[in-house]
Amino acid sequence: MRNQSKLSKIISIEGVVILAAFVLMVIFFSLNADSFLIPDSIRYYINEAVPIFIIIVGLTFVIIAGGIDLSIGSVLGLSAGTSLMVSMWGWPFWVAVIVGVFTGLAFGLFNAVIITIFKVNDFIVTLGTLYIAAGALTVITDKIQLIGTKDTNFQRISDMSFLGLTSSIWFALVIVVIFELILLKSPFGRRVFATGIGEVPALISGINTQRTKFGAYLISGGLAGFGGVLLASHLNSVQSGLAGGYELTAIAGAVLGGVSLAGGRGSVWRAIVGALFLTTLNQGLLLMGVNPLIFQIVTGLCILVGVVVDRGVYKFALTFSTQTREVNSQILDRKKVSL
Amino acid sequence: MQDNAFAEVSSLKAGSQILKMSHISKRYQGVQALDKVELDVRSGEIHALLGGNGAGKSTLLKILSGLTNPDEGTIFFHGQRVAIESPRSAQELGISMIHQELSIIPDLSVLENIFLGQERLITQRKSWSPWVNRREMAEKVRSVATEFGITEEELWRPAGEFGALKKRSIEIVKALVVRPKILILDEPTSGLEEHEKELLFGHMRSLQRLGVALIWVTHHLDEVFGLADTATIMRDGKSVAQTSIEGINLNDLISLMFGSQAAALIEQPKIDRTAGKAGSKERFKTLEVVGFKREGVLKDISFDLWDGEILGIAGLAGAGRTELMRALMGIDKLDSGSINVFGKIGKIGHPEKAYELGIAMVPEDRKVLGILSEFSIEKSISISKLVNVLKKGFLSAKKEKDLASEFISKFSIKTPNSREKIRNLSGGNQQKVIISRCLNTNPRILIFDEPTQGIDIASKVEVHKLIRELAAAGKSVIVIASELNELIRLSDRIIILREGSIVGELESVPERIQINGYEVVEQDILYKSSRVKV
Repeated sequence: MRNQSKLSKIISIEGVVILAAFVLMVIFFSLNADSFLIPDSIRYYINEAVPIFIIIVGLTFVIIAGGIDLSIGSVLGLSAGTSLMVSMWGWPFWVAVIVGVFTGLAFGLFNAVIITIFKVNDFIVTLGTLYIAAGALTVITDKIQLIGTKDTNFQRISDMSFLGLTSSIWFALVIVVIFELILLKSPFGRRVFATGIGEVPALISGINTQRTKFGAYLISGGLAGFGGVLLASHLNSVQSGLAGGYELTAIAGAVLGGVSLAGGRGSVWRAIVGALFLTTLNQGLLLMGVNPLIFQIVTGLCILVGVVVDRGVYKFALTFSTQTREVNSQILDRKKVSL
Repeated sequence: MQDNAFAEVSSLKAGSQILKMSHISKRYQGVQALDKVELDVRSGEIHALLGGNGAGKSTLLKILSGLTNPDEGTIFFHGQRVAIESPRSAQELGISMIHQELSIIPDLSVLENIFLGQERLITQRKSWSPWVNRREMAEKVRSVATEFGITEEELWRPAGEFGALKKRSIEIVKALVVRPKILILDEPTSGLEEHEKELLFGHMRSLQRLGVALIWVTHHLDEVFGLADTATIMRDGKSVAQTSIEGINLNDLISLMFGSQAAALIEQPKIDRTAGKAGSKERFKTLEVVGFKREGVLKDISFDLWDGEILGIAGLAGAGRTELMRALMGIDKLDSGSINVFGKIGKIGHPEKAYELGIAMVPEDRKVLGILSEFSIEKSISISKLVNVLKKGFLSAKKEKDLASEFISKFSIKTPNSREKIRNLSGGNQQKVIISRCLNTNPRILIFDEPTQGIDIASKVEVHKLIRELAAAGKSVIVIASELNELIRLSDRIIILREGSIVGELESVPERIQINGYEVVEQDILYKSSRVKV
């Protein structure tokens, strides 16, 4: 009983389960896929996944505040388009960066206004802006072929190498650290949690919940914009439909990392571990020579199994902790809602 | 409390005993919700179930309708011992309930509403058939519907078109299609206009003639006379008396419900508040509320608040007490009205602003409105004023811990440590954490809405002591409490609300109690807040 309660204490630390699963997966792949642990291969697939890592940070803010942002994928695509376009027109790289980031911020602002001021359902609003951003990119790419800027500075934004890592990865790391700090250590971050736990009690305790949500959507949009800039710089080519579906990968990663869709629970690093889990899974399967046609099925199964196991482990942890049964059932009820 | 022996008064009207609930007890999380309650109901009688908030009426009715099971006690139905384990078994016995909140689905037709959830049961169609025959349904219900004022053609119209009275009628017909022997009506007149009430009472008499026993819960005592045959009065989870209505007057009912002796429960050593009061000439106004208006809820409310006083707001459910406080906090928008806090005149558009001006609120319904369930005690206390725990712009874990520890020891909050989640604490301790949260903002005005709702007696006394200490320290306190006893014992001054207006004010309440006695004060307030004409 003593050991069990010790074990339950460890696994009830949030994020431990997904981290353990991730480590197990890495061990599995390194034993079964020859080139899995080669540094270049790791660097490569991580570098490719940087846009996902960046939008998942903003998404984490939105979800913890009790909302959802479906537009981030196509906003990222559109921002990639606008920044590459400006660079192709011959503007200096920093103008292209600003245009890309502002494209994202504009969509974030639009989402924020419609959701918090006009009080329209967040799912519907961001579904709408998903289409608008994707459509805008289609219109742009129909007029202009977004292939290749001659500005090498623009290309170097993402592909400089520093201490063995690309600048993309460094940007992602810095963003993760800064925004994790904001989420966990700033008054704004604390209000994000409070708003997600319960909008009404948060309001009554004196929090401007609408302003808090507003900020979260703005962050989400701005980061999607910056992610777009990095992607455009990396690919140096943007087509219609770019980054479509990234939002779903990001949501899946966040949920796997234990960011509760009901709001009020999660953190940036855990969402990142979730995303890392998904991208590593993809890479591992690829290197093992699994037929790419079934990747999506495996990914889907992993998400479901991951979430169910996480819930089971949570339940186990609670059963052996000292809390009363009544509390347990309450928490499990919440858990159900959050899935 | 044994002095209130269960007293059966006078002989009851004709009709055989249909229901007997005996020695029913129920505990919720350490609180004795019901304590050996007795209820006797005869067929064809209107049986009023009376008692203040928290007296245990709703728990008793939950047991009767199978929503929860008693810990102890027996239920006899037609003299036979029965177990009501689920809503289904209650329905099979013939017990139906009409809830206070209307459960009509507006987009469905009246007929569909009536048969909602029991289509097959009524029409006896083959169980595999997925279709319901609406004609057949209409056929079955027509005569009953007409009796309660629903015409044939109205059956086919969407229920959302109709007003509160017709919706009530729909619910009654809905309850009748299962041919109940006992029908429970929970505050059936809520939301009805005066003349509609008369019609509803007519319907209740018709039900009585059909031989249905009615168990009727109401807060409007004046309605009971002339309609109910019998009343069971509950207080603090006990059935205090069962009496025939003919042999009793309003005053007796009131004292049975609220119990003058029960006052002793909250009696405690008075805190010396002369410090704040001695220089009563030097008192100053902390808050001036001017002309608060909100369509259908608040009708031109103005009052003042002084430093060091406890102002009680009395009134029945729906009188606008909570709505007034929500408006004051800036949670709900007003049509017109302004406030003056320490010379700052204006409107409060958002709770954030209220806190900035030095107003803080401990809300009612702690679980839903009060606690941020996932937060630790530390986070729960600091949240309303995070500036207090900042260090170089960031939240300091140490400062949060110190802040929490300070309040934990000050209010003796019982918890293993300050990182415990607030949802794991008992109700009384949760309330202390919320009070700490308010005090962290250093407010000049504190609003307590139902401060002792759902907490045990020991914590209740502690919370009362705390409120008195705050006032003694010069804070202005506003208290709302449905339990009149609590409100009267706590307040220096009481404002009485009825239907969104101030209908009375009692100055220097403690002195009045000393001079006139507690009962006089209580009845004064009750008369003014209910529709009883003096």
